[in-house]
Amino acid sequence: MAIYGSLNEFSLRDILTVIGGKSGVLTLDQQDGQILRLHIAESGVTRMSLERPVQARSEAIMLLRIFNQERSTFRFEAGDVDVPRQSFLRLSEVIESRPDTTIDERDLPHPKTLFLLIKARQVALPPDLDEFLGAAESMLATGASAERIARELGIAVNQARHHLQRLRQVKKVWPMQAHVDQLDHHQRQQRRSLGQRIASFFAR
Amino acid sequence: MTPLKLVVSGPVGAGKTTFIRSISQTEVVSTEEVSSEEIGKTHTTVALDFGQIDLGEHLLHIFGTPGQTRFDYMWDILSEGALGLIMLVPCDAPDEFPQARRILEYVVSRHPVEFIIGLTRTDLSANGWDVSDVAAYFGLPEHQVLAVDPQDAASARRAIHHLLQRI
Amino acid sequence: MSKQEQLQHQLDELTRALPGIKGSFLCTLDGMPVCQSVTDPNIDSARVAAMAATALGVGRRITDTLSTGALRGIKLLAGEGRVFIYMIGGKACLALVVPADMAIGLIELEVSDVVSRLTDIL
Repeated sequence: MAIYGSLNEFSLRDILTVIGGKSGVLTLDQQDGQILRLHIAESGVTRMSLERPVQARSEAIMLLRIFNQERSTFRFEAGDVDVPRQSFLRLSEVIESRPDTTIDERDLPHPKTLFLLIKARQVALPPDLDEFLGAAESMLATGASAERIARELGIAVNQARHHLQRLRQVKKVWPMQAHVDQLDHHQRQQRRSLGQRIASFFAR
Repeated sequence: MTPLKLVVSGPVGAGKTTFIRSISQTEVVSTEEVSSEEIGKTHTTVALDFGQIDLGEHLLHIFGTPGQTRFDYMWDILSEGALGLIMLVPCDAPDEFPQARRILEYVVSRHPVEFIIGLTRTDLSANGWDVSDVAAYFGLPEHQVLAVDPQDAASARRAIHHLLQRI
Repeated sequence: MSKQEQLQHQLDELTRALPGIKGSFLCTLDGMPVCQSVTDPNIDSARVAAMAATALGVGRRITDTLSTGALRGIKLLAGEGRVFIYMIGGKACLALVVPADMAIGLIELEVSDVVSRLTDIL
């Protein structure tokens, strides 16, 4: 099983989401001689090694610096790793210690993708994001795009896209699933029976 | 009787045009032009692919979209009124995953379509992502992702069957 | 002059010859902009390039299917403007966005010259 790619397309969050609870070694190759190897088990880092030593205030900050190098490639090989009594760094801490203003174009949603408010989710937000949510809340309650929110609030579309992505990262909003949110029971039933009828054509 | 509609989308090079050519009963209408960019193949779809399957009491229209963001208006136009969506994703091109996710979220948020992800090139590449990891990336249950060979009609039909079971 | 400069020059000349034109756009057939001469800042060149490619792609399927010969161009007529798209040789296209009241005869005259010059350069 291979999980690999470039940091140009994958954020730290994406990589950690895919790794999930698996154990194995995550290798980051900065393409300039610097290689980072993280032994991961139970969502924590149990061992870390670097090809070239680096100065940093904490391991988490050093990891983030390396994860910010877009030209780096990563590869995760699942397997058993030694699990000492405690891992010295939780991966969730690494994500949380990152200043959340650095979002790349690759992570921004399409300006017309519709997002829905997750009302039940309680989460503390930084003031600028809280302000945005307050202003956009009624639109997001029924589903709104960055484009529409930007227009109604008089802000730049890219700013709305940034805010939506940040809200998405903490699961306060999520892309709508129109077939769930927009169809009523009767319409869903109609589609289901239609789907079943024509599915039989493809069963053989 | 209004024809029923399925949409096939995905990033460039996923195999959308090939998929439709494999299953269409009629000659596929394609709009491929010479690619001016390096995309790993000579041609790319600029408008749509269109294929058709006669199911007896229904006619099924299958539309393929272009993959590049500059053609995003076609994602909307072609998804209008569709019953379901098949997102084809090449297993050995993780660089294209963010684009696939962008297209998927765009279409699914704006059109009430059920969808599956068809993971392509699993037979061609020893070094591709597997179904469970791709499902994890997209935040989907594993049963919503399956390996598909767009060149194989039987595999393509299985994918359509899988999608229709979800509707 | 480099090829790019020659192409740009042709488009700038066209803008001079058709006062009131909102923009002329040279694009690849797969929807990428090559160069443009734009007077209306609201027009997005990248959008025009992609949509011109789409329109021509569909147009070529229609003319192929109906056996009317090789597609030369498409006219889109609308309430507040018009869009003309011309094939340039076999690898590029020229899109013009003009106001609805611009004389079509004048456009056709100027454009046929430009199209053959652009074809020669490419």
